[in-house]
Amino acid sequence: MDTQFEEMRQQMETLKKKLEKQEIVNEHFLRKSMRKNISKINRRYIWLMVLALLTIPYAYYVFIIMMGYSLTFWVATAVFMLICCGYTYWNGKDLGDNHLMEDNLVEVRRKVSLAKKRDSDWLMYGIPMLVAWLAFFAYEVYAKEGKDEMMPLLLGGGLGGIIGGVIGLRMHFKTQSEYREVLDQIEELNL
Amino acid sequence: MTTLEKQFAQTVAEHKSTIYTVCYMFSKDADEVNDLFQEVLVNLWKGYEGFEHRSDIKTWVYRVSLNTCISQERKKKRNTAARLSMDINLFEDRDEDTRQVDMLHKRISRLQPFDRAIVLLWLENLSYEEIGMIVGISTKNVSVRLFRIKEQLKNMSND
Repeated sequence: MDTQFEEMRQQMETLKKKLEKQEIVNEHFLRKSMRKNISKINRRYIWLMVLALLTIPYAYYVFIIMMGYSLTFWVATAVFMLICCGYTYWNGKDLGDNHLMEDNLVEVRRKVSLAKKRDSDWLMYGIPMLVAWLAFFAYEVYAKEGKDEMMPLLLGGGLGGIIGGVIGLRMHFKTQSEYREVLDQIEELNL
Repeated sequence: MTTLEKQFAQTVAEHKSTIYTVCYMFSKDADEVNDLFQEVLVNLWKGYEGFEHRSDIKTWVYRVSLNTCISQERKKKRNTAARLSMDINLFEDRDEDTRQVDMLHKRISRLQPFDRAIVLLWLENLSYEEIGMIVGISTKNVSVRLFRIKEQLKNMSND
């Protein structure tokens, strides 16, 4: 059994040797953590863009083929989705650069702050556009189904809208807090 | 940097592998090691000014590191951002040395935290007296506990 303890001692020696070669890092470690946060945001943006693009053919199938709503409504939906997609791309384009975290911190802070502001500003445009789209949707339902049939559809659509809105807002606040974390880390590096 | 800060940085640099080893043996993943490492450094810094060199600095570093890790084991508190650590990931690296280290980690982490502390110090070739001083028990108690821990380790390898 002494062999087992001898082996453990040797393993401990190996660990010590490995660790002795290491330096305590601060900046490198923080940059790594910042990169991790930024790539999380990037991945989320990519998913949102894919989702927005896929919504266009899906909306055609549901609104035109299944429900028989007007082509104008589908075009409005497609334009709304394209705007969402374009804005998300524009917002995140500077963050997609793999070398972003190797830049000087002033530049990184400028880009991250700008992306955070644009992400936050989106609510100013996105919410009114969503309200306008919902009003258009209500009008389409009214025009196609008539007053008596429109309530169940509007309730279903409204509930879906609320659930989607809550998920969207949660994602928005999560992204904002990740941006804030990156900016805090930049501040720490500048201390 | 003040003189005290310079002395502290020097102390940490000299004992970094001791601190990291303790943190590693009390962690389950790379994030937890980094959190603990950060926490130990904070606690070392808090006590550094008051450290009166009555005991050996290595003994003191061990005591603070083990106390921090054992109390964190109870609290399981997690920091979101660690500011200082080492750029090594013993949980994910795949070389032969890391595989050996991982075997040691697996054996030790099956022990209770207090026993983990004792066996760690024993593996570092510290005398029973030094181990007793660090963990706050008598030399005789260290010897009894180590005997039991060795039995436990033997039984584990028979499993």
